[in-house]
Amino acid sequence: MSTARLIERELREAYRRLVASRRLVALAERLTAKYKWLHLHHALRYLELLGPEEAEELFSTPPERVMRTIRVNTLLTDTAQLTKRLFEKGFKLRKHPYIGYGLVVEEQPYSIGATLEYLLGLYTIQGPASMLAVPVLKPEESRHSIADCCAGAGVKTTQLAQHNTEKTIIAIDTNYRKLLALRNNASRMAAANIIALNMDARYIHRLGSFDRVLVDAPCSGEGLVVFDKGKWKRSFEDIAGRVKLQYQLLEAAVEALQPGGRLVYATCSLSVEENEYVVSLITRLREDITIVDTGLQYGSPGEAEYLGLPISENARYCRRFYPHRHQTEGFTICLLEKLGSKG
Amino acid sequence: MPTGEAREQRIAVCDRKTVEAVMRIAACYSAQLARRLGRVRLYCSSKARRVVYAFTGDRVHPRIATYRVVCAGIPVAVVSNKSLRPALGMLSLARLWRVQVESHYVRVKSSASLLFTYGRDIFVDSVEAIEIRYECNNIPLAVIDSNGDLLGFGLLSGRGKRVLIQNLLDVGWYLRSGV
Repeated sequence: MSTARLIERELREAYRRLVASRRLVALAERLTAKYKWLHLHHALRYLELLGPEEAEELFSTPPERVMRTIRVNTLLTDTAQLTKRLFEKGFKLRKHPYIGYGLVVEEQPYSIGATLEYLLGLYTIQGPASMLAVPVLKPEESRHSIADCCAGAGVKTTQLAQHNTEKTIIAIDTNYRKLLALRNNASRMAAANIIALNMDARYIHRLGSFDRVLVDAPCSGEGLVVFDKGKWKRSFEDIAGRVKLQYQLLEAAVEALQPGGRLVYATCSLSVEENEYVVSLITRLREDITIVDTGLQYGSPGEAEYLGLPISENARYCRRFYPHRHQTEGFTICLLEKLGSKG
Repeated sequence: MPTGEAREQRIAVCDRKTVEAVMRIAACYSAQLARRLGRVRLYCSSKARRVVYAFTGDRVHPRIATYRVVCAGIPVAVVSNKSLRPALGMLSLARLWRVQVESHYVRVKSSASLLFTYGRDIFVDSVEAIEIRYECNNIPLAVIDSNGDLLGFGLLSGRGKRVLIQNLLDVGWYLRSGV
């Protein structure tokens, strides 16, 4: 059976169990009546994941609850200097609770993206949980080269460059226009060790091998439901379609990963299907890759039990960030290591 | 979905003539900047509008260079109207390497520097200091604000009372570029 068929079958069975529960369906219908942007399938899944009270808490979290954050570009400045410069312009900042080079914008006289400091590349705007994926990868320890699959406009790519200025960073995306934005961001932030390729990351193995790979997979964006842009209806089919692509990307990335290498799989989604299930699947089908502890002290542990899906016990090592619990955008980070000696 | 392979190479190591031209531009602003640039690899795009990239990573594997490369490092110069002009990336590298621009610059007052980053020109009464290297007369001046921040490039234009620094390129372009 192909992997795509396997995913389809397993998810279909899981969802069948879900819609068989009349109690859950009734609760879900109440939620969808209250939140017009919410699909019945989406409501069912989160009722199962979080329970009625917490699911409601998540869906009703206002966007102001999420920290507005910037990432200091440590190549050009430091947190103290930047805070001082922005303070003089009327911005009120405090330290990011989870990462040393992050700052939370508490007050802004005008848009934080319109300052001279931003144009000079001293910082960039990045979500508070999204900032945590790159340090987990430990790019500064790379001895070979680093890949950023699905790099987009390069926010995490420039963060990789902050951690390692010497090794080549290959940034890949199918969207040419986003890569032009990446080029501009790299120029603005003086990240000069990045090569951006317009290609499909499922062919990354053609480029050689890497000891550090970041897969910031395209996802349903369920972690962004607190914002207007994240409020749209997501059915079971929407999720299943993304899971298949995510698995293909992850498989290609693992193939290109060197023995002993680290791979971070991250999404701005809270769905177990798109995160713990995908990384568990690769460890089921391959013997040379395992889920390991991210080392993050913040966030909530990954979910190892959900809808009877085959999920590894090690999925608990993943870290989840919830808007209502952690004041971040919804985000999930998993760390994998390829077995074998580093060579 | 693109597999990325191009029929011809998209980037290549720049030829000696281009490298020397870029170094000459950098030397107008700072000898140290030129020396540092001399130690990194310069790659040129093979498209009609040539862009020169400064790349500080490991060597680019020849196979990668055959793919559709959008950038290999950061743009430090661009061929414009058949001549080579500095790009904003050159200023970014000066910031990265903590290099001071020592010559061929104009320093402007605060109010004018803000307008400059909106794409406006600078009038002579907004100039705090100017230093021109006459051997670099075809090279744009670096524009600096009173804090020493590098804002972009300008061309000395006009004569008498109508002298101004014409905005050639400023850091506000990063927001205005539309990408």
